[in-house]
Amino acid sequence: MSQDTAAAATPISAPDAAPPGGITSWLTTTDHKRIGILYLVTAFVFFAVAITFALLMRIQLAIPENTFLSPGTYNQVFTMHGTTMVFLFAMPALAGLVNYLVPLMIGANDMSFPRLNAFSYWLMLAGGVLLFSSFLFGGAPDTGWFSYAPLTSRAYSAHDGVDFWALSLVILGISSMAGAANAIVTMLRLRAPGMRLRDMPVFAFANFVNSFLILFAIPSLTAALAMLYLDRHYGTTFFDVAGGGDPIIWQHLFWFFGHPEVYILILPVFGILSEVIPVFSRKPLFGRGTMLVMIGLIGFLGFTVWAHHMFSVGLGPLLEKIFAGSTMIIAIPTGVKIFNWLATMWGGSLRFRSPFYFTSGFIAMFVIGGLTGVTLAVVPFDWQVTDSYYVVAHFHNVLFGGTLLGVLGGLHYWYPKITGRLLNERIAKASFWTVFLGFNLTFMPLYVVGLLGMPRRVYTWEAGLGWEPYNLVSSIGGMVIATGIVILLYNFISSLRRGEVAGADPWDAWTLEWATTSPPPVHNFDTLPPILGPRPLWDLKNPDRPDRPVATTATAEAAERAGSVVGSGVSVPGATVTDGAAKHHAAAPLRSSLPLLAALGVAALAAGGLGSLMIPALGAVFLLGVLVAWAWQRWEESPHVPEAVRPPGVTGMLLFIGSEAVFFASLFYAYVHLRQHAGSWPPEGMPTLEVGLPAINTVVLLTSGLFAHWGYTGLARRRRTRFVTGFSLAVILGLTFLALQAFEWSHAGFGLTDGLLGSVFFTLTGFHGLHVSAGVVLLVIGGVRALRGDWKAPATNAEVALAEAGTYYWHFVDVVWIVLFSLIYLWAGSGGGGGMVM
Amino acid sequence: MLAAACALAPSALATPSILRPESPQAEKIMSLAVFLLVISVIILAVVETWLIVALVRFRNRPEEQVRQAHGNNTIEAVWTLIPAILVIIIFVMTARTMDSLEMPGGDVELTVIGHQWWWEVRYADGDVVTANEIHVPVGREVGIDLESADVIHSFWVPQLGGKTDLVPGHTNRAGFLAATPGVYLGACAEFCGMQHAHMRFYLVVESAEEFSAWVRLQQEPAREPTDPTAQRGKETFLQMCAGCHAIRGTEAAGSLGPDLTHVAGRLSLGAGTLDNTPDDLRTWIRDPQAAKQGNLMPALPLDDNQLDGLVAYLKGLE
Repeated sequence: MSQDTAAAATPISAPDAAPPGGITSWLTTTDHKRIGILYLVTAFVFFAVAITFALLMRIQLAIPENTFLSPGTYNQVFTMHGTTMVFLFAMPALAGLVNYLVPLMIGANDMSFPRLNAFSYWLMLAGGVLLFSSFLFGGAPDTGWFSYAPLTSRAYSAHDGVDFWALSLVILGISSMAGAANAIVTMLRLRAPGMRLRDMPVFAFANFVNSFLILFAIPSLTAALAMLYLDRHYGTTFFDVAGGGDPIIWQHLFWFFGHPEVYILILPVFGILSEVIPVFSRKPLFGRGTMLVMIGLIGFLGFTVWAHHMFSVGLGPLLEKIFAGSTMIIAIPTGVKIFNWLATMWGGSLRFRSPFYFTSGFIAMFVIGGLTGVTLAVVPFDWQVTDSYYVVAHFHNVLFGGTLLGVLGGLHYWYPKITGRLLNERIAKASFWTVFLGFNLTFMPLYVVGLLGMPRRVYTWEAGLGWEPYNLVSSIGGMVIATGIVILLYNFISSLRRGEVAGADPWDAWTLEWATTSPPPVHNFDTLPPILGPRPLWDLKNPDRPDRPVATTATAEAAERAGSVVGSGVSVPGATVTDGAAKHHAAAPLRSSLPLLAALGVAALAAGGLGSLMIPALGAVFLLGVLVAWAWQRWEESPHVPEAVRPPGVTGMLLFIGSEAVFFASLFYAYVHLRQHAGSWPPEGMPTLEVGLPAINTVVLLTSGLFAHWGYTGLARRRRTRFVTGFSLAVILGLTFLALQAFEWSHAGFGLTDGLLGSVFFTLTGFHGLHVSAGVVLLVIGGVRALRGDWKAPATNAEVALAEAGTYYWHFVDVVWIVLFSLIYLWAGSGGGGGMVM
Repeated sequence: MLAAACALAPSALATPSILRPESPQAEKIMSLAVFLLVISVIILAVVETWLIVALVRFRNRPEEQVRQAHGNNTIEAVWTLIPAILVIIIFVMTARTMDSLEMPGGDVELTVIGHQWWWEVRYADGDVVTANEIHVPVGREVGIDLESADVIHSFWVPQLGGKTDLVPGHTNRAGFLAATPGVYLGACAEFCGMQHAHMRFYLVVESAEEFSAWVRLQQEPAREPTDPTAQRGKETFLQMCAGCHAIRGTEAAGSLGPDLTHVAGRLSLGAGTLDNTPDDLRTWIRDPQAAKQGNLMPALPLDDNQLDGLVAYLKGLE
């Protein structure tokens, strides 16, 4: 129990070997646990702000014709409430839990890319600060979290609020995607010996799936935001009807992101429930395999339903029926999950501790959100209730009754692990009941008032329509929620000092995070139990009745799997040393100021998008410097991955390329949509694009790709000259491509502002050109770094990773060009073109 | 007519509840809603009962009695199948209802154009242009082309049917058959900027005779003012207001704001912001920004005399 005493002495700060002092240690930390704490604390600060916004709205709406808020202020407040809750509370809170817990759950020492991890956090903070700074510069965004075009155009939103919104969302998106890629690589590479992907705790597995959702959903939003920004600042006409644009494109791209986003906010919470309910029922998760499959299924189906947000847009009966059907299907896996949780509780020995209150509350409330969700898929009913308060009630049942209650349940569950102290149970239960009651008071009346015809997003409403009692009760409920949240936060803060010392495993739980001290040491584990199945601590604590009997083939199998990674010694029941990984990692630098500096560089770039050009220019130079330093810093990423396996950085790059593909697909979609919308292509009075020069450029770029690959394979075979020649030629041809592209631009005879053709031509070739430039930088840095290695010895991961990643990226840029060349030049049209698809 | 308008002041409207349908379209949607409600309540009752029974029955049971059950494929198959069947039933009901809601052909055809933040209403037959209220004959099929002059709006009369968006660059269709005479509240249901809350309209369902009388009245050019105050008001109007507003029969032909040819007969001012009484009209003209902040109409430098004249003139435009 000496561990417990240690935890008691310093319950909150991580007991680092060399205790780092003060604030700098937090600014430069790359420890996943500290980053997790930073995420969680930041998320809850934004949560408090967003709750305040909600209260302001409920005060304004409590009585008819209220004048508490002006219409302009109300619209800012509701926009910021939604944006903050989604991007600055829910996403960061979940990212915080993932950061803190996933490495612990899989028996790793840290995330795969600790510096990238810190960078994600600082970017998130930068995005949040940028968004909120809009209050100081002419007003916050006021067009809703969905910000439908063309309300967001300069003509209808003259002040800079929309720009702040768009730029900060791009930043927050990059932050989330970097975090997601990091999480995936971590779970692919750093699982403890013997742990299969499906043996990971369900929370980790859910986030594994979820990270793919983040990677593939957000780029669609990024593309839409880019078009919005270009429309507002550079005179393109993607959403501007007068210039041939179509505002519907925004809705498709936004909801292609926006609906998976809903699942992004709930899948990890499904994971939380699947951790908490079994432990407090003293039973394994019922139908664990099914639960994992259903998570994957929901994640996949989440990408097929976006247009159910657009039933009133006029999609036509065919598309409406398809999207109604795909949406309803999601009810099946979701229903199964709820039934399986209930079956987990059935026959158990239920422990009524605070985490269990929140998860039970989740089930009670989420069911309502799920059922009303199905009703919204019923197209004719949706026509009536969409954009009414019914929808507001529905998604709060999902996001508050679901996501928030689940996250709070998770925090009550893992608080002892993170802080080393137990929460005060009485206060915790009081806060649960207050929040639960307040939630029902607030949102149940809103279903009714929606059915009674009250539209949402109105800053005021008229008396005499029978809406009075519902609005008043809802506002009172809002106050009750706020009271509950205050009680809850008080408990979180006061228990830091006054809470009972938790010990390593206060809940008698079964997953790996409970196999180390609370809070865990910097390197997380000194020893790991053998991992034969999903409940390693159960097996350890119940040798007489383990999930998978030790004396069967499973053991041999596990030992074999384990052996392939760290050698023998793992199959012995009891504790085993995790090879040299822990020591190895502790020796690596755990701090770097580069992530923070890089985030500052990005923030400067973004801030420049709002004002003078000096700031982004300096920001770009600064950022480039930081990135070079980043590549040069001696930093052993993922130290205990054996050399034979593909470098994690390359896996990360492949994931990044996947998300980039969605980004370009979104731009291509916009192009094809606009083309069909225009009827004839090229638009009247515009030239047909010449194929000659771009055809030459295609050859240049593809040749460059071949040289890059030839050089890279030379690197692996330790042929220095071949590597240098290949990469040099690749870079030179890449630069040639850019030069020819610039030549074509300057001789195009039209500009970015010349209608649809200008918009799509310069945007597509421009973004591709940017990626070519980034590819050149990557090849140069990766090449130089590879050259510094020892060419007599076999290549090490650290040396080759960047060059290999750069090569893959370069190939991706080629592929994008081929699609672009085909769609823009080969299908250039000749005045009469344009079939009718939509 | 004016008396009728006063009696139908916005504050006297019934709750625009989708559960009190007044058209076959809204009726069908309500039947579907009731069906969904019944199914949902049954499922909800089953799940919540299951939860509560589990919580009560297994609370703090001795741990030794717990069987470490990992799952049961048969049971899971059953509760995968049940929601699947329900989903199929709900989908079929949805598709059938959608098919039965085919847009009526339109005995009366009109175009509604959304503006920030008011509704322009143009009838296909004759010179009828009005704002923020739609008159239709009872029991006849009404077809509406929906367009937008600026941003996206959404057309919604809860008691007559669902929403249809007004999207710039697109023409959408809405249609219904109003079954009962009365005045129904309509609203913009897509957030469209600062005064989205004050973008209401009134759907006036009246007998065939009343409707034709209304159409005839609307087709007439504006009534010439007879008393001197109103005549002065007309001059002020032509001088100060004609850039944005049209009044047929005068030189005023602006198109930024609502056509005011028969403004005195309308139910409200500012798309449901104020009642249409002389006092309200005066309040509105004196400072439209105070009544409805952010709307396009500026407060003009008018003295009391000019205001009196304008109010008198406009109140005469029945």
